[in-house]
Amino acid sequence: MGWLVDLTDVSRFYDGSARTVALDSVTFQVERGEFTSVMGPSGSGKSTLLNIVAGLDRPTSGRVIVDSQDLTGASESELARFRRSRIGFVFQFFNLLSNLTVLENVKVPAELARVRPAEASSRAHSLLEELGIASVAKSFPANLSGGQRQRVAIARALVNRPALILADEPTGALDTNAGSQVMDLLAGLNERGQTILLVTHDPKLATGHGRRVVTLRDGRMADDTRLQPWRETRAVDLVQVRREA
Amino acid sequence: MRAVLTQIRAAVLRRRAQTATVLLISLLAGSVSTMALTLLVRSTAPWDDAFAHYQGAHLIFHFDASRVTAEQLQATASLPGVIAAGAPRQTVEVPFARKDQKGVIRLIGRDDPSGRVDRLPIVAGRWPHASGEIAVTRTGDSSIPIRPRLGETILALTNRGTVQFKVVGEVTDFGGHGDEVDFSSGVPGAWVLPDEIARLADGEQSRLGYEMAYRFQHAANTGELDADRKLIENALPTGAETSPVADWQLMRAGSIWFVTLMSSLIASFTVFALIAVTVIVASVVAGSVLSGYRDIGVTKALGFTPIQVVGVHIGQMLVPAVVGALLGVPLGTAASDPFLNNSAIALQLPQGRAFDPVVAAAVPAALALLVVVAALVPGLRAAATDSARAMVLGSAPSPGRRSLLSTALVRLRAPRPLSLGAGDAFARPVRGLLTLTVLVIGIATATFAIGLQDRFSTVLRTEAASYGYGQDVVVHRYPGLADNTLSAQLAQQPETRRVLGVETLTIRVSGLKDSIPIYALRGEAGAFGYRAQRGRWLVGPGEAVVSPAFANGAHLGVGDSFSGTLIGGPPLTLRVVGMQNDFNSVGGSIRISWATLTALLPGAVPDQYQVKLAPGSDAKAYAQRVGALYPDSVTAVATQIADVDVVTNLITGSVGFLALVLLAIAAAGVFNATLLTTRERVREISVLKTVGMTSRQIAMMAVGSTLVLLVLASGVGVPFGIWLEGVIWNSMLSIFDVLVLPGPSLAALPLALALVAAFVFALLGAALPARWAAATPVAQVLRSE
Amino acid sequence: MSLRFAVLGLLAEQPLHGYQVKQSFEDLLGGTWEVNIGQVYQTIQRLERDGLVRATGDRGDRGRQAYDVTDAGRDALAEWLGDPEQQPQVLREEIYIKLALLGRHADGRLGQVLDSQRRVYLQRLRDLADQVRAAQAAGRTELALLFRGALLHTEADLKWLDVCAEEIGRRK
Repeated sequence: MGWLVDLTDVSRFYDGSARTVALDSVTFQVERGEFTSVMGPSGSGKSTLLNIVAGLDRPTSGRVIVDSQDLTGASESELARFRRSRIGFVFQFFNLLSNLTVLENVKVPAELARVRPAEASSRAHSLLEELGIASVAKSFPANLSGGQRQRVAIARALVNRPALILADEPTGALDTNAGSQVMDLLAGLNERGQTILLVTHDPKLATGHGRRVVTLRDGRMADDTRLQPWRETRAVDLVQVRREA
Repeated sequence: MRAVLTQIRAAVLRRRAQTATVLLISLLAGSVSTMALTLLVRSTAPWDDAFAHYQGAHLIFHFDASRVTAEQLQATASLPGVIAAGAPRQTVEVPFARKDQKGVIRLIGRDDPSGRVDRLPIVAGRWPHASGEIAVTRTGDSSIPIRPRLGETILALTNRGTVQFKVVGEVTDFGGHGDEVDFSSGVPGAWVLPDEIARLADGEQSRLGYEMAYRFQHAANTGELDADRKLIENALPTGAETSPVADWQLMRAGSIWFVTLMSSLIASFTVFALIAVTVIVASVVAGSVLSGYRDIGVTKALGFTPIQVVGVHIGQMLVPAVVGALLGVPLGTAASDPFLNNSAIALQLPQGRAFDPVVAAAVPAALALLVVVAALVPGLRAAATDSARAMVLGSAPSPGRRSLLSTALVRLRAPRPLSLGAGDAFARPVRGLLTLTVLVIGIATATFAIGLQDRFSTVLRTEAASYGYGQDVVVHRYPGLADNTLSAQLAQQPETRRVLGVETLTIRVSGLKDSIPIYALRGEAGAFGYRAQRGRWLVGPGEAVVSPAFANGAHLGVGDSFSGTLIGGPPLTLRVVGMQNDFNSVGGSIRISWATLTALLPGAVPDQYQVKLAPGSDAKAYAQRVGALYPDSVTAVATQIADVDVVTNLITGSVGFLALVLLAIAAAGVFNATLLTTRERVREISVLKTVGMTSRQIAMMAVGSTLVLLVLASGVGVPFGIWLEGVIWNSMLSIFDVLVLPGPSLAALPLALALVAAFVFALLGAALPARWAAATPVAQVLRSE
Repeated sequence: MSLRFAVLGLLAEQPLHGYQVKQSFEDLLGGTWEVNIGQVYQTIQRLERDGLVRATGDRGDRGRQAYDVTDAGRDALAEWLGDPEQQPQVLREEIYIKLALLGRHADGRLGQVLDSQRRVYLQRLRDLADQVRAAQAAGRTELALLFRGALLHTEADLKWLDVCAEEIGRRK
């Protein structure tokens, strides 16, 4: 079929004192090269969806296939191996490893994937260059600004050239400026063919870039719409300034 | 693999406190283990190797030449079970003089030091070639009255005048050639050419005898040796033996007892040290898992498999543990040198290097294994972490509940910081328990060390007689001088306070194979430290106080009677009224009152006089003076209690040092626990500071939890330490077949000392993290995330 | 009201002809307010009448006449600048009425209306985001601010839509 992400009738329940439904029969596909946003308020199931696509969580029922790999019955080790080479993560709170330098952080997925050290280093270095943070290669995350940290996270996510980048509120901990820089970065990657799946509660973020907006509500898909970019609308058709004599 | 290694390296370098803690405790435990293993492995080796190389004798018999012939003795060499026997050698005991020393030496006639059995290592000089030459036993034992050295001329004091001998060689005696039954009277062996024996065998001072040395097929333990002994005895006329048979197991024990003792002591400390290390490592890893909860989640999200996550946690511990152990090995090796030295010097055997490659490899390997085991459970917990949840939560779910203890303290109106801190102690129960365990170990060993020290000094003071140090001077009297004369002379000396006359005889007890020394005491034995440790001391006639070795061998208890025959005297029956330890006699001993002796042998007179001097007297000068009064008839030796002191100081010093090592390990455990707790509660601490708690109060809080644990640990550790001390003391003594000493071993002051030491160490451990906690920068902490 | 004071403000920066005022004003508002020249002249005349601006230079043809602000004009401007605006909040009543009416009847059209309106808002968000980026790229930071304002208002409308939907849906 060619989908990069293929979820069929996926549900995720938690059985506690009351049954919590995180996802309810979600069927959802993502094509290669798409920039898809998944939007919804907290509790809508969007984080659960992301975790399931990433192999961090297992569905209670349904089938999950990502990059031609069936994750549904996979073991912990298989999922780990999947995560290290097929997807890249960008999180709200960066989740860099505090014990490692910037360069070492970026190299981790490559080392996990048994890439030769020289190759891993060169990939990491060129990514840092590309993202404009080559100067802090030897620093520790604690000494960097939020924007810099997120860029390190993006570099880390890209080092194994994954098929899919997953971003969970990537600008949530950043100021407006840094945030828009990060989103521009992601958009740039998408223009070059990188498939991106963005999860957010902020509609401005969900629509700012990318073409497809999926809305989740109460664990179900409530909407799935395509946006038209850059329609050359006249400003006056978009904004009506209030007039008064 | 590479990814795991990168993580491990980063964790080891960045988490300095954790790495330092594990490194330190591994170093300490590694040294102690190395010491224990080295001593265990090496302590007996020099002796055993030499004994095998020189084909030492399993049994050495001494016979009365008038009761058995050389042919009869020669015939025993072909008995079944006898591998080889030395030729029957003539012996004679002769008093000798050397400078100002006088003592009896047992001369053995022998052509050369070689042979199929009982070869003698010559450590200096050569074997005698000609008449007038003598080879002596080299010894450092100062309780032997005469100790000739190579090159000296010594004088044999025979009835026909003095005969000169030149010492041409020094020989190592594995034991048994001289009369070693009674260490304090010490008759060493020495060798001359066979013809010399006849020359000297004249007069009543001498006794001609034969020496026979045997090696047997089965001579590994007491049972087999008993059988071997019976074999020989049955082949010979009864009553032919003079001194008890020297058996190599006893001689061996006598040579290596000190090192064996030390190695078992150190081994038991090692077990504790290793337990403490395991516990602390488990706690460190658990703490690292908790504090790195989010990082664990991230690594799993990035694609670390559960096994790799476990590997990272175990690896973080292994690196400092192995490095620490490797550093500890040379320390432990160096520390065991003095002990090995001690045993080797006594025998003048070449001392092997203390370094043993097997030990050097085994200790780090064992510690590594221990660390892996300790890190496994918390490591597996890390592997099981739900990564998504971990990344969201940030730090591990906090227990949040208030422990009963802190509630109680709040009710009691303890200072707030203290009650807050006390609540910490078991907020994480497992960590609290682990730290408690380590503290219990530290306190128990401190208590043990101090108790042992206390016990030793008490014993030394009150039980001096049991190891032959109850007196200040020992005077041996030879037949040329009358008892009255000497006694009067001694009484006249200004320093003399008391004199105890001792007559040494031998008794053959019915049912026992060996003859036993029997000492009759004339005077106030009690003043010299003679007292019954079980039962009571001698009061009426026919009573005996025996050593536990004798009682056990003869299956006698207090109240039982036994009969036997005095060698050179009549048969007798004695009733056991009490028991006293006797460290001097290897096999056993009996003490009777003078009245009991004179009833059997009316004309008996003492041959040895133990003298107690006024406090502050110069014993050496006294001994010299007395010796000078009767140069040919008396040997006077000042008792040097310093020798005993050296040994006991070495023991208590080592024990004290080991206890300090364990306290250091305990302090490291407290350091780790306090650090983890304060780091986890950084946010809480910042909040407390904003509501007005001072830095000092914060520090008190951090220390408060340690105090609680200390109190609890004392409650368990002190009784445990006391019990332990009793157990170890008794097992130490059981080597010598002695009695349990009654009474509690711990006075209040030593106990208080032990506790103070433990508290100081523990609080030192908590001090640094407490300071760091107090210095938390508030704004920074409250702002982040 | 704001045209009057915008013109006053523009003239306070430098004297301008009427046509220049129209240009500058439309620039300031990035094309969202196209004003006709007649309105501009009318506004200037009223300002002159109130003594807040005066003609400068030669009095010629209306098209060439430049105007400058008076001291009284500067004072009035300063006062206007200092006063916070206190107009009532503008609300889009249309969607509210639609939802309320639909909510009273139990036909399934409520959901459809909500969805199609949401999509319009989402598209508008995207369009505005594109405009913001274009304005920033062209260095027109004030214009970008204007668009960001519109973006935030649209987001508010979207949220209000969700709230209404939830509320009305609950009442059913």
